[in-house]
Amino acid sequence: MKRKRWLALLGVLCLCCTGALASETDEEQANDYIQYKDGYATVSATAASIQDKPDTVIGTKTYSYHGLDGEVRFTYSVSAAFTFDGKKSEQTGNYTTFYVSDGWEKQTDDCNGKAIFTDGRRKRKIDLTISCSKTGTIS
Amino acid sequence: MLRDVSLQEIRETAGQEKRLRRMRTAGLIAAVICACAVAVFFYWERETNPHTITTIVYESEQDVPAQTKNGLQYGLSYQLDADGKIIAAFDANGAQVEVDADGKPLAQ
Repeated sequence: MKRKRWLALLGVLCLCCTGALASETDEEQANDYIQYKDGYATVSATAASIQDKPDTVIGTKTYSYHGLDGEVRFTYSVSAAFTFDGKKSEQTGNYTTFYVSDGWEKQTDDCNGKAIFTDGRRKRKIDLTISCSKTGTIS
Repeated sequence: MLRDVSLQEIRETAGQEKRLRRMRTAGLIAAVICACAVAVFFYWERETNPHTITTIVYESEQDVPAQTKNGLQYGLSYQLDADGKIIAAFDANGAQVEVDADGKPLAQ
């Protein structure tokens, strides 16, 4: 009985630690800075509002991949427009832009934040998501 | 070696054991609460503050760059040069689309 209780508590501890570690791994992806073995990437986000169209907001997220020398290898941006009314928000448009330096090319792009870039040896899978709250906050 | 044990000693020993057990349980509960708090903290931070967001305010719709307006309207993927100028445009299937300097498809 006592042993079972110990085991149960140990199990709960393990579960909690796993959750924390998993969150930490994802956190690295969500941060503004992502470290790779062969370089690093930065992710920045912008929210643009229009004064004469207060129910519209345009969100942009940009992923820039740099080599170990700090030079930009490629950048990928997704922009999306949303309308909101306090009860719900709706995406009304989206597009992407990208820049590749020599050796890199874009393999796929769904024009909505998911793309794959490659230099022939390595692949970088990008998944940028822009969402808008019902009050117009971009995240 | 046997010795007489008084009732008082038995009670004391039992009391100590009980206290020890309680302390052990309290320690475990504290560890579980700490682990949960750490997990909740990471989850909250990820959910609430994924990126530092810069805010731009345009005075009117006219101030929104033409490339942004066209991009949002036509949903394409634009390839830019190092200066940020459009050099090619593609649709979601990867097919190239002829566009003007502001990203508007020429066929429109």
